[in-house]
Order: sequence, then structure tokens, then C-alpha cells
Amino acid sequence: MWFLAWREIRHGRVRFGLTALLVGLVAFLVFMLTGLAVGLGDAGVSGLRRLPADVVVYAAGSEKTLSRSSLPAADGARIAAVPGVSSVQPIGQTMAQAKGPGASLPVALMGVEPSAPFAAPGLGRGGIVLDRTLEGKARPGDVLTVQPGGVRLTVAGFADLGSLQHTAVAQVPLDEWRRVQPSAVGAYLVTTSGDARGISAAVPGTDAVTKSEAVEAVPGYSAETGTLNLIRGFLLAVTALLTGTVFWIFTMQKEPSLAVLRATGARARLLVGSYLVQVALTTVLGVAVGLAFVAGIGAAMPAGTFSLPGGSAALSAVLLGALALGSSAASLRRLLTVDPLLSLGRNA
Amino acid sequence: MSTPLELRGVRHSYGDVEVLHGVDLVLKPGEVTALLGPSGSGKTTLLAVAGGLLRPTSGHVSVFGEDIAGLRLDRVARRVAFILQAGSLIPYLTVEENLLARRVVAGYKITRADRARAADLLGAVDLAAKSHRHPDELSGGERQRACVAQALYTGAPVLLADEPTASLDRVRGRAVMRLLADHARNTSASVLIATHDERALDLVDRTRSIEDGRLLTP
Ligand SMILES: Nc1ncnc2c1ncn2[C@@H]1O[C@H](COP(=O)(O)OP(=O)(O)O)[C@@H](O)[C@H]1O
Ligand SMILES: [Mg+2]
Repeated sequence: MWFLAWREIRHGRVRFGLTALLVGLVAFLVFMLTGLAVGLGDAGVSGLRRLPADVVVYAAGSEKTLSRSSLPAADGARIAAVPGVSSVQPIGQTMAQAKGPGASLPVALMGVEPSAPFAAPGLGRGGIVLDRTLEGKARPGDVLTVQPGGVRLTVAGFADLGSLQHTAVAQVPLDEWRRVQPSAVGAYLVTTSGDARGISAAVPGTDAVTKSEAVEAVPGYSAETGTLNLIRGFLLAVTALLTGTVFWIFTMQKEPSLAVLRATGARARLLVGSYLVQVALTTVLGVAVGLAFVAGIGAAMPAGTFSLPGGSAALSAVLLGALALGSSAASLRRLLTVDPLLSLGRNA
Repeated sequence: MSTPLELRGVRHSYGDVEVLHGVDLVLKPGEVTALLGPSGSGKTTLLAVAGGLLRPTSGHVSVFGEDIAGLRLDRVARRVAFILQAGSLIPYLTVEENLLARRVVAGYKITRADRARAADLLGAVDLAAKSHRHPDELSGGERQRACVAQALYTGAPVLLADEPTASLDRVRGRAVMRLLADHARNTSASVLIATHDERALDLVDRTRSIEDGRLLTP
């Protein structure tokens, strides 16, 4: 198989090289969009995704949005009483502006109990902990004035808090958050062995959803990732069409050789094997080219917009490979039904 | 030993038009038979049927006693090799690789001995200097000699050659005929050569004439 496949590629290196380059360009776009979907998605919801919870309990009518939700303090005990619930943590969140000596920073201000397991280390009364992406824009000990409310808080440090709606999260004690947003509690994070619906039913005025539903409901998130994934889907379809067409043409063009090979006794296995080796080599090379491009360009993208974890990259690569192989299988029938009689060269 | 190739009552039609009207032919080991006939008399068709590329409309073709009607083409190809008029060189392989490819097609791995044998054969057809060229870098005559070398390389006991001297001058044509004759003598192969070239008939053991799809009685 290698004998024929490799020599044909070597002899036709321009056409195979161009095909690999084309696959590489489309693969690059696929990787790019995958990275953007992950990166932008993360920037939209990582602040929520990192919080430990099975269920998020919002106020009914808040459209499952943290910053719009407000619940009474007494609901905490009611939720805790629902069967299966093992822990309940109140949080609150408001979009705010934190003005310091160096800069004015937009933050997704998140109020949490300093005793909560997910509270940033060092979080205490009068303090604020900023997401690490804000390192350099403020320093520990800086006093920030948070608007609305004009609350003055001291930077206690930095932690990996993530971001919400493309805005870095800043944690403050729930009591300080209440001075910014006069409300008892925004929402509750619940650990439970039961389901979300049970909580909505047991506690009137609440809308409990699973954490993944809560993530989907973050404003803008579904629309952004949905659009990117749609384009990605189109590009994958383009890949399939591209490889399918190119290899179809290649197969047609070499029908005389295929006829000779058949007439001299080549078995189907040899022809199919050689063909698939060529498709696989071209695709692997193309995907590698795409990865090389994306490694170069992805590194130059601003933080918070692009992120291509190994798993997502591998998934995209496998998808590209599978589509290329699948679409080029369309030529197999043609490959196998070439008439060895053509080799007599007189059917013109 | 059973007969290398035997055709009994072979008829063949393209659509409604019958072009072989009951051909009986037996090839013996080590013997070169010339199939002499004008253009359109059915030589190529006869060879294609004999080598399993075409099925006879009726009648039987057997190779070493086995009817090829029930055999897959790759099984037939192990015993019957063609020298095709249109050539059988794969354009993306060098001349040497075109020989080696026959081994690959037959399911073998290439060994050092295979390469040595290829080099010998290419020397015998005067192509040693061109063994690393691609077919499109050869002249028509060189291509034809490469095809002959290819067929000899298979070591098949039956060789069917369709006008192997057609694009060669007298000297080269005779050289190819002698090569085929020597091959038959040295390896006991049966060789059937379709031709309308009567210049080198002194080199063959037997001549059968074909006219309008019928073999004339010798
Ligand atoms: N594919 C085909 N379809 C129909 N008729 C054909 C085909 N090939 C050959 N023929 C006809 O069959 C006859 C024998 O052709 P062929 O075997 O090629 O003769 P030769 O090789 O002696 O020139 C000719 O009359 C030719 O026109
Ligand atoms: Mg002919």
C-alpha cells in the first residue's frame, strides 16, 4: 500500500501539497473558531462555572440572571429544608465600576460569605479580591471606590475568579455587596442529591435550575457560542466537501492507471488501502498545518478571547479527520468499479 | 502437466455483434505462437478473453486445466501476464518501480533479489540507463520495451502480447521477439503474440492466422 501511495504522492507533490494546504487553511479556521468559542464562552461564564454548585436558585422572573435576581434571606433556611439538599450558600452579583489610584476597572462584583468554601483567601470585612487578569491594574492595599454606592474597599489580593459577561469577577463579603446593591441575597448556590424542580416547587418565588442551565442562561452566552459553533459546523461541512471533491477528481484522473493495476491483478484491498493512506496523509498534514497556524496566531490573540485547550483541539482534529475520510469514501465505489478493460486502451 | 492455456469454442460479442466465432487454441509450454491477422480481425479481443479481461459469450478458457470463468482476476493474473498495446506503465512510478509494482500487486514485499532481477531485465531490454526515469521521459519504443520487461518480470507461465513490436523499428522489433522467444525457451513459458508484422515470424515456433474472428486451420 505504501509502495504505491507514497510514490504517487511524491510524484504529484504539488497537487497533494496544495490539497493539504487547503485542508490546513480550513482546519486553521475551524481551530480558530473552536478557540474563540471556548475563549469567549469562558469570558462570559467562567465566573459562574467555577463556583461549586449542583443547582442555582434565582428569584422567579429574574430570567436566571445573577445580577437581576434578589431573594429574601429567609429563603436560605427554606431551601436547606428541601430533602436532598446538603449545603446552601448565598451570593449576590452586580456589575460595578471600581475606581482606584491607577485605573477605573469594570468588575462583576460578587458578594459571598467569607466563610464559604469558594471565598477567595484573604477575603474579609472592607476587603475586595480581584481576578488575576486585573493584576497590574491595581495593587494589594489600594483603596477602590465602588460605584454604584460609593463603597470604599481595600484590595486584599488576587485569585482565579474568572469573569462574567466578559467582565472580571471581584469578590467582596456579602455585607459589603449589600451596600452596593441594597438587597438581602442575590441567589443561592445549592449542593443537592435531588433535582432543581423540587426546590422551585418547595420554595415559592424561586426559580431553581441546574448549574449548566444557569451557565446557558448567562446573557449573550448562548448567542455567542451558538453563532461560532454554527460557523464551525459550516467550515467542517466545507472540509468534507473539499476533500470529497478533490479526491473524487484525483480518482477520475487516474482511472487509466487504476485499470492497468486491476488488469495486472491488483486486489481491491491494495487499491482501497493505497487510496486511504493518501487521504489520511493529506488530511493529517493539513490538520498539522492548521494547528501550526493557530498556534502562531492564537498566541497573539488578546487574553479572554481565545483559548484552545488540548481536548477541544483534539476533538476538532478528530472531527476534521473523520469528515475527510468519510467524504473521500464517496470515491471508493468509483475506485473499485474501474473496468480493467480500459487498459486495452481502445474504448474511445 | 496440464495445458498452460486452452480456448475451446470461444465466442465473444460486443453487444449484438459477434467478433469471435468459436475459437479453439492450445498453447504449449515453452512455445511461442504468433497470432497473425489484419487490424480488426479480433486479435485483441481474443487475448482479452484468454486473459480473463473479457468473458466469452460462450465456450471455455482454461489455464492449467482450471476454467477461469470461476476465478477472480487477481488469481488469473498470477498465471497470465499481458503486454498491452496501450502500455501498462503507471505514470507516477519510475521504470524500475513499474516492474517492482507487479510484485506489490501480487501481494509481495520487495526484496533485494527483486531489485536485482528488475535491473537484469531492464539491462536485457536496453533500458538500464533509464531505469529511474518516469514513463513520460521515455520514447514510444522505450516504453514498449519497458512493458515487455514488466510482463517478463512477473514470471507468469503464460504471456499474452498485443502487438509488442508495433512502435519499434526492425532491429528493436526483432530484439523484442527474440527476448520473448528466449524467455519461452528458458522458463518454459507459453507466449502468444498478436501481430500483423510478418518480419520476425522466423523467431516463433508456430503461427496461427485469424480472419474475421475465425482461426484458420494451420
Ligand atoms: N469495445 C468494443 N465495442 C464494440 N466493438 C468492438 C470493441 N472493441 C473492438 N470491437 C470490434 O471488434 C472487432 C475486433 O476488434 P479487435 O479485437 O480490436 O481486433 P484487432 O486487435 O485484431 O485489431 C473489430 O471489428 C472492432 O471494431
Ligand atoms: Mg488490436
